[in-house]
Amino acid sequence: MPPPATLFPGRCVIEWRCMSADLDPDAALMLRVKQGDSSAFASLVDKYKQPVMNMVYRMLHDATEAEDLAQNVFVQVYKSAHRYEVSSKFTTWLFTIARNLCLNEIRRRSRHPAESLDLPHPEQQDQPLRQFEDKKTFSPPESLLHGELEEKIEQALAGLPENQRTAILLCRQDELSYEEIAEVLDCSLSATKSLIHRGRETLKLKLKAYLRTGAWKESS
Amino acid sequence: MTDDPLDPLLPELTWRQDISPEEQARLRAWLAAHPEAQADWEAEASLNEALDRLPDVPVATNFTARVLQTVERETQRQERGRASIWRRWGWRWLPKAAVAALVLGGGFRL
Repeated sequence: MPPPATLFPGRCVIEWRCMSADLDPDAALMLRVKQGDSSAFASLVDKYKQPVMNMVYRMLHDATEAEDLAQNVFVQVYKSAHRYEVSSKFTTWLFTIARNLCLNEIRRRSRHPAESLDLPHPEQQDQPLRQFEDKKTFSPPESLLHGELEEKIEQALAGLPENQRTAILLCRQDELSYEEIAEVLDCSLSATKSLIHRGRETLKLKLKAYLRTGAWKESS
Repeated sequence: MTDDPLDPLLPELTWRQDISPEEQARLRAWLAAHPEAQADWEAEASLNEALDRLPDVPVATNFTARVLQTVERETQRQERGRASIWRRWGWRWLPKAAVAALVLGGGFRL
């Protein structure tokens, strides 16, 4: 079967050969996205919206912002599709974009923290203009809480440094190898394993009472 | 957790969900040989169970549709921008480019 005709026949031949070989399904979809195939793009969004949303939420600790940013991750994937290389695993590329956007948002928040909490709402004088969640005591939305245990786990994770938290979350998702996690975190393999180890040691300490008793085994 | 110089990769096996049957057998054999590490190992396994209890964050049912709408909007905005640049600058440069082509073409013939 001859390769499809495009304006760039050389590149088209190379990509056609990649598509005809045993190609990772995600890479095959991304090649179609590069050709402007919106259904291929929608398939990738459907497949990865949950893991991306999980990661973004646990980095930002804000459900509303997490949804907006998670959508922006995929918009960036589409806009950057021309830069995607088949040699790179799609999930590595995807989670790298997700992490970078989260870090940008965290830095933006740290640069613009000053806004009076006491400014009255123009229409409701007895209410402040903005109401902020107390980030120090992170409370996940009610829909996420099945009990005290889950809240403790979420809080313990939220208390970790970002790189340790991200490393642990990516590790448990199983879509990425340790080498690929290192690529997302932009650090060495040994540093990545060290982050996971240190993060887990902290979590074991914070959740010690629950880990010792296995209380959630009784409630499940 | 005790360090076993003979099998330094064992701790990393428990951090992930997808350890193979061979790796599980290797773990069991190692724990049988190092009963003092049993408590540490149980803590690792318990932490894995705790992390697995983290629920999926709710995703809006129209998530994908909204992403596609945003992409469509961005694409149209870029196309409008390109068309605007051409309308603004293209007509000014076209006659100049034609004259330049004539001059250069005449110069080569000379």
